[in-house]
Amino acid sequence: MNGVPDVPVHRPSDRAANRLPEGQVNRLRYAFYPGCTAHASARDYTRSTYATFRALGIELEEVPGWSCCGSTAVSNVDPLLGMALSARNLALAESTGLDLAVTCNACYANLAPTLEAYREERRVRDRLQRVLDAVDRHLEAEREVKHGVHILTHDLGLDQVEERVRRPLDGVKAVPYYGCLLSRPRNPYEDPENPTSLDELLASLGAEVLPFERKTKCCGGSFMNTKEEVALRLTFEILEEARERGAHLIVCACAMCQLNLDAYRGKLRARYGTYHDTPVLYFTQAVGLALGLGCRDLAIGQSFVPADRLLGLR
Amino acid sequence: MAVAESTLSGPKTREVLPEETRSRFFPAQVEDISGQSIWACMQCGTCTGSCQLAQEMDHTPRRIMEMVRTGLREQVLTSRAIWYCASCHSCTVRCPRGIQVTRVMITLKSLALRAGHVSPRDDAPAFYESFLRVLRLFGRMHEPTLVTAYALRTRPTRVLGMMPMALGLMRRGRMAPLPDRAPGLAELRRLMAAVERVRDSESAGAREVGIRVEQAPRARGEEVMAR
Ligand code: SF4
Ligand code: SF4
Repeated sequence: MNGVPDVPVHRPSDRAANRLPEGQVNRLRYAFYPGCTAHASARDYTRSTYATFRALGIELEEVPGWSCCGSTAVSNVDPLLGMALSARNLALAESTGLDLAVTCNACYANLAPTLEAYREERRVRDRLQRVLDAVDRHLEAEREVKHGVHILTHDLGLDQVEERVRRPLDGVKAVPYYGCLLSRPRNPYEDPENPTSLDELLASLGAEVLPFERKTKCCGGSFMNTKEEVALRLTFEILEEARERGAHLIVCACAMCQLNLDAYRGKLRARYGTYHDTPVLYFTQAVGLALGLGCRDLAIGQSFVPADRLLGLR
Repeated sequence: MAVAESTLSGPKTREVLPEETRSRFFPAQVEDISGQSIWACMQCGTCTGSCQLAQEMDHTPRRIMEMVRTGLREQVLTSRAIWYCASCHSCTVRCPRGIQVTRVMITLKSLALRAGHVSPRDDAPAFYESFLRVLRLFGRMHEPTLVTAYALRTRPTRVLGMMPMALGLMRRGRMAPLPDRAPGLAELRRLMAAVERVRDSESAGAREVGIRVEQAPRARGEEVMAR
């Protein structure tokens, strides 16, 4: 099947449509795909994800035996292998009987489109089934893959988040950075051109959410090792807009985006002459802060640009 | 091709393209692997207009689409354009004909690698292949091994340039010194072998109807690791 058909978008603000039946709120449970950066460069993301989700009453169960999803690299060498890795991980996740939660955009953008292609494109399904048969795995494709942001905004719902806010982010001007892959190539919860879940999530924490034109532009993360000058240009444009708008904070939802926007400030200054001191937090850290969790639990001190200035604000 | 480089000017025309071979089967091959109908393209240029990387490319995404269906196989596969695609899907969500241009670009990259056609001036292929080798070794990515393998394949002095970043990550507790091995590594390698088999059997079928196909050049030592 070709193309990306139009899908109805439930905005998080459609609160009635998103509300869970009474009594179900505390029974949210997902299989969790941590991804390869979970124990390395995004260790802080994983830690804050577990802490924040637990505080919200959402249980995460690590997918048994998960492997790398191939990131954006493997498909470029071999598109079928890229999908096969995702299909196997989906099969492993399905064995838990739960829907799958993913917090890295790059992983999400491998797993969710593979699931969709498996469901909708017969040729893809045939090929993947032959590959899975060879390792005695089976994919029913009856469970969903969800990004952590949408678990909070849609499965749990903003009412629930708001109710648990203990330390609202009053006075914090934040810009949401979705990156390429949270709303593209397709996400049932977002408009690909103008996603809003993260905006509304941050607003529910009490932050002042600024308009951000580059919210879905590419940060060039995949080029940082191979075409640094290109990657730096893309990163610079995003940070520059955040600075011009007077943002105190950039909030992202991807292990790759955070590192890319956070870790190259020195190189950016050397190249463009501007130092950007806006910290970049994962959405799990921003939510956790508002819930009243401590910096240690949320691993907030592990970013390159310290978020203390922001914390001092409050 | 007997075009004297000195008679051409400008960065684009200086590329001395290999003998023009129009492959009648190239469009079909790209359609088959990508699952996209490239004949549906109406050359509107929306993909190019949406692409943040178009300014870096020698041929824009719209032009690549047209070159594919013209069968300009060599020119497409040796172009630098495909390696500047960041897989950001901006073109995909905007294409008025519903073509997932990103999947076409990914397909072209994989075909270029299989044909051994990649430009030696571009480091991206080496990076992607290094990624695959680390995956084969551990089943999960290990950044220090990846960047070292990549540096050794391209410019070993690169390792020096990467040190500040590595130290920064380490200081912040964001680096895993040792690789994390995926359980079921043997199964994962069987999966990779199965992918090869599916592709080979399909290539055999394709060859019968006259589609030109390349085998993946096996990296040295790969068989040993796969055992
Ligand atoms: S946007 Fe689609 S139809 Fe338009 S030129 Fe690009 S591929 Fe062709
Ligand atoms: S996916 Fe590639 S071709 Fe399409 S807009 Fe992004 S960088 Fe350009």
